[in-house]
Formats: sequence, structure tokens, C-alpha cells
Amino acid sequence: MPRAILLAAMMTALATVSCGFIGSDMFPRELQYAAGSYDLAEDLGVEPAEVGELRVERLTNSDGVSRVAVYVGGSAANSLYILDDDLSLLRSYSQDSFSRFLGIDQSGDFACGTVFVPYDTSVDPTVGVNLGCDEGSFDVVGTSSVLYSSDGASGTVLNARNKISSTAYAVDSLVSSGYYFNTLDSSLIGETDRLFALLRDRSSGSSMLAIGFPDIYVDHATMLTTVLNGAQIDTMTGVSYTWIYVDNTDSGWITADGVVALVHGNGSRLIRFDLTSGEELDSIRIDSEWMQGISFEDGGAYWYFYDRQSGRLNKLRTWWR
Amino acid sequence: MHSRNHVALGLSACLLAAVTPALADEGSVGAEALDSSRAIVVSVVEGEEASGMTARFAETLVSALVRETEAAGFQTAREPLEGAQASVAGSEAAEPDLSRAVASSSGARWVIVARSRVEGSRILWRASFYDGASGGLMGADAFSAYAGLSALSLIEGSAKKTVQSAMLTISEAESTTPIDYRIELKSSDDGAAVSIGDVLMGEIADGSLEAPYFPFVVGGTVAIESRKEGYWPRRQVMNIAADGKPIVLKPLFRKTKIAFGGNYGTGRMLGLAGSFRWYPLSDLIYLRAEDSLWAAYDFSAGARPVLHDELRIGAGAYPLFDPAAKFRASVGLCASVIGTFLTSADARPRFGLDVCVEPLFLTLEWHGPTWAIVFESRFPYSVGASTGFLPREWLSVNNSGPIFFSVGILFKR
Repeated sequence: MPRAILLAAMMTALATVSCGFIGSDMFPRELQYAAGSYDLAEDLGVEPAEVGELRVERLTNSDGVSRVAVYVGGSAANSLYILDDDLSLLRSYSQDSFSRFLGIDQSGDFACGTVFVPYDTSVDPTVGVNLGCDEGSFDVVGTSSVLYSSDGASGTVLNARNKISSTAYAVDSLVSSGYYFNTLDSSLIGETDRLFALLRDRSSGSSMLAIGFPDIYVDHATMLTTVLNGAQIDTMTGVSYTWIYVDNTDSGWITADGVVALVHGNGSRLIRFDLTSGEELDSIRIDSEWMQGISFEDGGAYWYFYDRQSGRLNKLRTWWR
Repeated sequence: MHSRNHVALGLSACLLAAVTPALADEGSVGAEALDSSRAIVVSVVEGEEASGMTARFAETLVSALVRETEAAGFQTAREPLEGAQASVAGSEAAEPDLSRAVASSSGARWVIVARSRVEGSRILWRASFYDGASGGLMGADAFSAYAGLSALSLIEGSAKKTVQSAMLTISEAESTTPIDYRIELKSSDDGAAVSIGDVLMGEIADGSLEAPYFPFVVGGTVAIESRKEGYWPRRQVMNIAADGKPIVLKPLFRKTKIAFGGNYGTGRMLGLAGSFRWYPLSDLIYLRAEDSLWAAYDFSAGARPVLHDELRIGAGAYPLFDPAAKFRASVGLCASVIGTFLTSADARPRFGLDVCVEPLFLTLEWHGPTWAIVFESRFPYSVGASTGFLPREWLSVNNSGPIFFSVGILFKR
């Protein structure tokens, strides 16, 4: 019997050491981080996997009111769901003018596509000016600009569009000619007045992807706002970048605690990188096959995704907080 | 021409050896008093009084016998004949008594008599290997040849054959010696009835049983069968040793009616499982129930433990039925329900109930008489119950495949 016990102990130790998944089981890891959910598919009246294009953003208006906005594109009218931080539904809308663009308009209200949505959900939304709600447009909260990228003759140009005038300005042609990018996210982080944009290299068409931060240094917030309003575009100086080379990624988000990239290959992982150094900080393994509309709050406390199996929109704590 | 007379006698011959009155006062001792590892070579030269040539041939024979006897593993010495021994040495018929006398005086059990003489141009010799305890002849070889150099190799060959035939006789004699003790059986199964062959020897009491005397042959084998209520009978074939040491019987295996225990495994490493089996057919088919309680936890700042409790029920069978086998394998199927509780207060929903089926599980088991170490691999499939958190799919651990292994112990009753 002692030999049998020794054998059993060795096998157990081997399993423990080799697998390294103490604490893991057959359930979705996300359950450990669950902070709320909303049955979106049921509300839409469709099967969970039939939900079409979807984007989730937690927006904070000029009065500091935060809402979780969910845009759902479909074959019929597009939908917008406004939920509170507990993922309780406040109001849903349906309009053709909704699009993937989610941000704050010039008056501080929520915007989806060309539609302004007052945070007072008793007030109906109105169609406003075109904010340049392209697929790759991102609101830079706290400024009057929307950031987006466009392809030029010799490379990708990062642009800013004024929310009021709808005027577009080229911010920077970035890096060097011959490189093409998609803007993945943009945020104004902290009081250091840094603007970050996540860029994806489309030139190689392969698994080698790059995420960079063009740090646009300005003297203070007012100057940044001015820059983004396009007034002093020619006087902007000092664009620098921090590059992170990550294989097999197509998504990234900027938070106050770092940049998060979704990396595929040998399972999917969410990897967090340091904002300044670009060093990898930590990561978790996820089952991204059924995840849609992943989004991280700018503050870094929570993230969201829609589960195409359960039909629920989930809110999760980030693993580092 | 050469002539040969090779003699190899068995145990019965040595028992018939006569005792010559002339040596009676020399005394004889039993085999126990003699050293069986020692041999004595004595030389007897007949005929014309030891000519130089005869002495040289006799020396060759003695030397060859010493060498061969030592090669056979005996501590060998040569010894001159003295007194009464020398007086009877001229007769071959007196050699058994001579050997007993030499053995008695030297303490060595084995006595080899090297007898040689010269007749005209021929040398004749005879080597005889005796058991000094009984005077029994164990092996011998006789030969003659022209008294020349060619005879030397023949003498050496004759010595070799003498020792070889003696060794054969000795081993045969040992193999037919009946034991002189009662077999004692040791067993951990008190109350077990023990039979040797078809004869009931008795029951084990206080861990042992002294069987009635039977003249089993040393080196032979006996079939011993143990039986006890509630246990599988066990038949063992054991060797009969000459030393009389007790025979230790292997323990009986319980006829398993129920078993219970616990296990630990991947997929729930922060937890344990308790299991129960009921055997409608002992050690062949079982129904099982198992309850596992574990937590899933990443040990990261944002994680909150998720608690699970799984109840499995199923059935299994041992395809290769051998109730006394130490190593066994079983296969079966199960169904389970898994209750889940999210400890995070703001999670919605916090409770879930999933249903899984296992078309196949495998166990590899190492069995003792009343316990078993069980290694199990299973392949659960979630049916995707709307009340739970698992989608409809084959389950995997940490997206790494169906590596659901566990190791545990079962106590059989």
C-alpha cells in the first residue's frame, strides 16, 4: 500500500505541476469576475447567436453621469440600449441612424451614429450633425474631437473630426509611408494630457501586428483640446510612440491601468501592457469563441462582452483590480 | 583397449551400506554432525608396493579429484590413511566403512577414495565418492589404460565423471527427502479455512495454523487454498522448504459489496470528492454516486471564488473479471448535476444548475484486500441547460481539453 500511495501522490503532483491550472475548472473563467449581466437576446427576441453587429461602451457625459451604451446592428432597424452601471435597462431605442459610433456629443449627451441621445431617457433622441461615424471612429471623451484613421496614398493618416463643425483634420501621418493602420481605441488618460491610439498594422496581412501609442505631448488640457479642435494642428510638436509587438491580435483597448490586447493562438488571452514601457503586466485566458463586443472601461475597473451562447451582456471586474 | 565401469548409485543404495565390525569402534556420526561443505580425498595404492610409476599415477588421480571436488563447491583436503583405516583399505568392499571412519575422524561429510594399481604395463584406477554419514556411494568411475602419458588425461576425465555423478546423486537424494516437521501457515485472515490439496488442514487462528504432519518432499510444491465467508477463495502454489519456516499465505480479497472513499483531481483542484459504490455483483458490476465540492478561483485581484457542487451517479463494470487481481480496470457511464454559486455579490444571476452526461469513464485501480487506489479519467458533456452556466459542449479544463483526471482511495466492505 505505501507504494500505491506514493504512486498516487506522484501522479497528483505531476498533474499539479505540469498543468498549472489550480483553481480552473470546466466553467467559464469569467464567472469569477462577474459583476452583472443583462439578457440582451431575450429583450431583442432573437436567438443568442443571431445578434448582429454589436458594440458596447461605457460613456460618461459632461455631468459625470455614466451609462452603458449597447449598439446592436441588425437587418431591421438598428438598436441602442442604455443601461445603468448595474446593467439594468433604462431605455432602448430603434433607429436607422444609429451606427457603431458611440460617444459624447458637443453638448455632453450620448451619441450613437448621427443621433444624439439625452441622458435623461424621458427625452427622445434627435438626429444631429454627422460626427464621422465611420467604422473606426472613436470619441476622445473630454474633447471636441472624434479620432479616426484613413488611408492615404502612402500610408495611414490619423485624423480628428470636430464634433461641432464636422470638420476633419489630419493629426499625424504616423510612423512612415507604406504602413497602414486601423484605429482600435482612443482615450484621454489621466491628467498628463496624453492621447493614445491603438493602431493595427494591416500592411503585412499576417499575424505580425503592432500596437502603438502616439503620445501627443501638449502643455495642458486646454492646449490639447485646442489641438483636437484643429486650430493649432500645424503647431503640434513631439509625436512619439511606444510600440508593442504582439502576434495574432486584432483588438485592443486603452484603460487607465494599461493597454489590453486580445491575443489568439493556442487559446485566447487578454494581455495587459504597461502604458509607458509597453511591458506585459499580466494576462488571463478566455474563451473568446463566443464573445462579441468586448469593451474595457477607460477607468480600468470593468470590462464587458456579449455571450453568443447565453445571449447575455456581461459586466466583469478586471483581473488586476 | 580401454575398459570402463561407471557407477552411479542412488539414495536406496547408500541406505543399504554395511557396517564392518572392524570399524565399528571407530564410530560414525549423523549427517547433522558432519560438515556438508567439506570433502576428504584418500588414496589407496594396491598391488606391487608403490613403485614410483604407480605413485605418480595415484598422485595424478588424487590431484584431479581434489580439483574437481573443489570446483563443485566443496572445501577439499587430502588425508593419509592410518591405523584401522589403512588395514581395511585394500578391500573395495570395505570402502563404505572406510568412508564413515574417515568422515567421523575428519568431520567432513564427503569422502572420495582414489584407488589405483599397476598390472604389467597397464594402470587401473577407480574413484569412489561416498557420503561419510551413511557410507552410501554417491558416484564412482573406474578405468584402465596403458601406463603412459596418454593415461593422464583419462585419469582427469575419470575424476570429473566421478564428481559429476556424485553431484547428481546428491541433488536427487535431497529432492526426495521428506520433511520432518509440521507445516505452519501464516495468514492475516483469521477464521479462514485452509486446505492442502483436497485435505482440510484447519482454520487460521491468531494469524497462524499448524497443519497435521504430511511427508511432503523437500523442494516439492503444494496447492494451498484458503476460504473465508465474505471473501474470494484463493489458491496458491507454494514450495516446500527444508528449513521448516512457516509458509506465509497471501491475504484474501474481500467480496466487495460496497465501497466508499474520496478522490482529488484536475478540474476541481480546490476541492475534494466523496464517492460510494454498490456492487450488485461483487467486484464485477457497480453502481456509483459521487459528490464533489470545489471552488474555482484565479487568485487574482479581481476574481471572486465560484463554488460548485456536483452529484454524479452512474454504473461501471470490470471487463476483465479477476477478483484476486491487484490491477484492475473498469469502464462505465455517468450523469451529473452541478450546482454553482457565485460569491460575488453583484453577479447576476448568482446561482446555476447544469446537467452533464458522461458516455464514458475509465478507471485504473490498484487493489489491496480491503482497499483500492483508483485513477479515473472521464469525458463529461454538458447538455447546455438553460438554468446553468455551461454551454452545450464537451467540457474541458481551462480550454485545455478533457483532462478530467482524479486519484483517490476506496475502502471496500
